[in-house]
Amino acid sequence: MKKLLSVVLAGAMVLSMTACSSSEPAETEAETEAAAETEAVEESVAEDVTEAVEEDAEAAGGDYTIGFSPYTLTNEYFTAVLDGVQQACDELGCELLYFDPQNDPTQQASQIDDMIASGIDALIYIPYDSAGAHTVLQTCQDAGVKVINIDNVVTEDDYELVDGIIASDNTQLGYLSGQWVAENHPDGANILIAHLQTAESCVINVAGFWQGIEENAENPDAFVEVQVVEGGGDTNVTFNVVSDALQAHDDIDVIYCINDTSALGAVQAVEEAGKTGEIDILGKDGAPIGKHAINDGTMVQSSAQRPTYMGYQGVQKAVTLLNGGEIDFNEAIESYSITADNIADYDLDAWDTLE
Amino acid sequence: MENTKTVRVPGKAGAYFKRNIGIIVGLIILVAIVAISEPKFLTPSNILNLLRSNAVNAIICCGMLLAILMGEIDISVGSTVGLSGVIGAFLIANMGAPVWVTVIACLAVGAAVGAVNGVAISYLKVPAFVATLATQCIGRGLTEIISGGVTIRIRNDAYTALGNTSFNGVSIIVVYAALVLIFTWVLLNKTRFGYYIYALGGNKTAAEYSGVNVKKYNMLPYVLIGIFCGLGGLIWSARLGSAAATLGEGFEMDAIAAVVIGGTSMSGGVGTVGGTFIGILIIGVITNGLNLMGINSFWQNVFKGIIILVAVIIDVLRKGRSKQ
Repeated sequence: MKKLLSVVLAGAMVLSMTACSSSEPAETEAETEAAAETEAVEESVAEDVTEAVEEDAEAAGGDYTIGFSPYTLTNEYFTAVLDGVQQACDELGCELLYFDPQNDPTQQASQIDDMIASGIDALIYIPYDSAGAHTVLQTCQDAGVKVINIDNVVTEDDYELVDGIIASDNTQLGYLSGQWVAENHPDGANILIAHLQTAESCVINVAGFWQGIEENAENPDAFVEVQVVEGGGDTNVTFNVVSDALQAHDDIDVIYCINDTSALGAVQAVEEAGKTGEIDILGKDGAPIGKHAINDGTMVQSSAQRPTYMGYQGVQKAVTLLNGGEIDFNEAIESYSITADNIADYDLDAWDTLE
Repeated sequence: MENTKTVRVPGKAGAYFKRNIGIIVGLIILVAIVAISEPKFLTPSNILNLLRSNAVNAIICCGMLLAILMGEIDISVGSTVGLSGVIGAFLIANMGAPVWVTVIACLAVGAAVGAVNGVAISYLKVPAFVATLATQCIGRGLTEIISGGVTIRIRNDAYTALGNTSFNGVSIIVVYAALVLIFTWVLLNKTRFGYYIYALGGNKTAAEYSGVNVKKYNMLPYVLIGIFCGLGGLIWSARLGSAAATLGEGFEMDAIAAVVIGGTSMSGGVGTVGGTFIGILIIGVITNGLNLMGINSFWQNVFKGIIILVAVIIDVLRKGRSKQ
């Protein structure tokens, strides 16, 4: 009986492990981080109050406190957004306040409550769960906080609760890659997709990719989807699944990856299979790692996301609104295609620039 | 009841098939099913690919086997792989450290995490699951701090060669894995150290009364597990030419699965390197086979889960029978 119990216990441990690995560390880390942040907040709020009293009517650009809430800050995409937000705040003389929600919508919500309590004037908001943003938005509105929703757009029902939207055009991001394939493979191609099927934006990317092929190829039927593999948007997962797919199919011409991080895995898998140069690998995001790969010739194309610009624009719009100005309600950020032909025009180590 | 548990020290090579007959038959059936539905499965290049894909898992499994043989567990392995991989990448890419320094650093990071686990479990009596859960959290956090959430690119050919060299098509990391498997086999079968590990897992109190330095021999295996994980991190970062904060996430799952499928008892004292090796192949064939067949990866988790459950149930049933 004892032994049976121990086996059952062990099994339970194994099962609970997955849960622990994702949620536990997030919680503890965020807590310590939050604790540190709160101190910073208290200081800045105190400062604000005194300054506001002194300068009172001088509301030209400054003295606002801007809150920023992304998915996480342990992902370079979101740190690039933060860079843009920070830069705009510095230029406009705003205080910036942000926490790391660690990919947890419940934490994100409570952190935003904390920000409102600390007196933010506007929130730059990337909702982790766009369908579940309603209560957060309602709280902001009740508190008179302006909300600029960026990157991951809230559902249309909630549009009336946000003051502005800025987002990438996911269809166009895929479209540019599809267009590249159509133009560079006039006779058609066998295509492997390294997907992240759980992300809606990636599903739209891939649809845009095929649309780009259909609208630009003379004979769209010559472009065949060989297989869709689940790379999880992760380098080593993609490496393994692409390695296997290359074993199953020896006629692959093109690999389209839903981000540059996974494209790196595809690059390595193709290299190990001894097919470097035979297969064109396309990524997405225009991340520094992707640009370096294009520069090295291991990747052929990446459609740029513009996180820094997006963050920068978010703050600009928020401050315009706070000053009583008018903004475009919904702005789609135009992407551009980075290839070997134009890679020299870009800074390899930055995600994007503000031009 | 615990006192009557027999300590199984593995015997001669001839007994290998007999002891592992269940999983060997399972593996053969699995291979047959995959080979029939996907002819490309049995090509030499795919076999080499399969071995290569599972090499790091094999190395980590050798560590996990030690922990489970002691009746304990180490769930920090994945985060230790990530931590040492990211520290390695950081040293070589951002600090310009020489390759040999980086290699030693990776292994040392693993050993350090292992030492923390070992001391906590053995000397401070923290339950293994809790101790390694804590180091898992700490390790993952440090990994994210050091990498800053950015994928670190490595452009050092001497370093990436550590993971990308091959001999007649056999990848160097398969060689690493083979060496670690052999090392672990020798350790468990030919040394006093190995004998003590089985003894500890079989019955800690009895081992203590018979004069084994229980604390020391309960702690040292964790250092070894850590070093194996450090090697895993080194290999992955070299092989991918990059390291991200997510490196190694979920590795503990595949390792525990392979060790358990390989006939290792979760209550300790029973299990072999040979059985674990078959467990690794079973996990590898499922993943590779389903990928080749183009089956959605989410199903792989379902299949792996079912197989783990079946393996544990068989373990329980077998023990029940031997008691009668």
